Amino acid sequence: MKKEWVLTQGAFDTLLEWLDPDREQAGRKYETIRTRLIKIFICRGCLEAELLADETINRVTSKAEEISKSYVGDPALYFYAVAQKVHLEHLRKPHTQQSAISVETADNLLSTAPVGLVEDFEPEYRCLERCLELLPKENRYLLERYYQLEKQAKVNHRKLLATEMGIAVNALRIRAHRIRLAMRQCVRTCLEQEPAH
Amino acid sequence: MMPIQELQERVRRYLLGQLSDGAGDEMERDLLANEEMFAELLIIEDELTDEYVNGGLTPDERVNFERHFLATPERQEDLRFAQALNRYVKANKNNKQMAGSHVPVFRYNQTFLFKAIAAVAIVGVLLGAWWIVRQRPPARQNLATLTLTISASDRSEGIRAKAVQLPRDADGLQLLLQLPDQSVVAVRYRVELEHEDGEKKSFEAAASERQSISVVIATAALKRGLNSLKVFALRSDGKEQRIPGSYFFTVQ
Repeated sequence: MKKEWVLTQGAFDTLLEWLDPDREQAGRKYETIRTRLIKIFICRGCLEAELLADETINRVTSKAEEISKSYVGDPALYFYAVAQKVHLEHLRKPHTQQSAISVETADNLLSTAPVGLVEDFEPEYRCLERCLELLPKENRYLLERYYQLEKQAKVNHRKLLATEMGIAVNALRIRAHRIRLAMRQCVRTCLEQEPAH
Repeated sequence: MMPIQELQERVRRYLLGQLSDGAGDEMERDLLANEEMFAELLIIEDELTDEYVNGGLTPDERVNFERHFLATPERQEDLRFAQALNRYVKANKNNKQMAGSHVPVFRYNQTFLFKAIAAVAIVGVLLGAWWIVRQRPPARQNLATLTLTISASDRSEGIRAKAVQLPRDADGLQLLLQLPDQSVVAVRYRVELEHEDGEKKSFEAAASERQSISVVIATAALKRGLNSLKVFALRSDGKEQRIPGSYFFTVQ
């Protein structure tokens, strides 16, 4: 049986040093890599994305002393190579369930209503209403206007909104996304505080 | 960097599991190394989810979305949020439309006196509007602009502060503050300006391009010399959190 490697402060310090000589910058790079690894594992359909990302980081940390002397290039790409191996090992485990819907079921769904939509999202809706009250009026207004309409009407409407605001369409898109992200986080926090039914 | 539309299409196909293994790996390497690519992915995730909610995906895309994209609890939670947001926007639009239809129709009787009063009132409103337009300051302010990146230190020693000289006719200074990569996600931002003489002032900032905020400080509020800025984020739980570090600049 393999000996379990234990993360030590020394090993973690070596990792950070490898990422950047400036400790604060290194910390930010570490968080960036971790966040993006989690996202990649989510995109690959992994139910335990955070665990897999942490496993990847632990493995890289265990070799940081060695890597820092010889590796040339963006450290993030080394993390990626390790993440690939971690994912493969994960897939080989017998209990791994990668997809919420089987291929056969999905094929039968083509002519039916979207199965992912839920009917009851009342808690989310209540929390969203509360969260929107925290927003400055102009941000709330932007959010309401940005998400109106559908398809081509939506595209034209957003161009008009961007022109009204005096910004490029993509800048509007980014701004709306940031406000939405804040609301998403707010709703998440609100739901955690909701009493269990 | 590839054209934005091509990049967006590539990200979209990646999210729907439509890229080949090699292309998917290349995308993931780009995501790790490229901030703009990663930021684009986050936005397109939301856009795909909204399209799904609104029935805007093609049948093949819908299958891929349900089979591949919705595989994780995080994405399923995001979908519920998107449904809530969609419902809110539709309800709010309907409310505004209903309010519009209930604006009371002004009924007036046919007396000469009433018509005279109405005419005087209209003339008065027009004169007032003309006066307000004349008095209103120009819509566009004349602003000098300065972009700053954060310094890890709160102390100015050893820091090379960017210098700015305000034109005589400048109404103020617009500061674009680039936020560190892992800044807290905020509902709004407050910026505290501190002059080297210790005087402090607070301003509200607006989210600008990705990972930056913008704050406008009127010329009258600026003093010559070294200034520092601290940024505070109002989190979704209502608490204010300071973003570590400071921004330094000198007004000449």
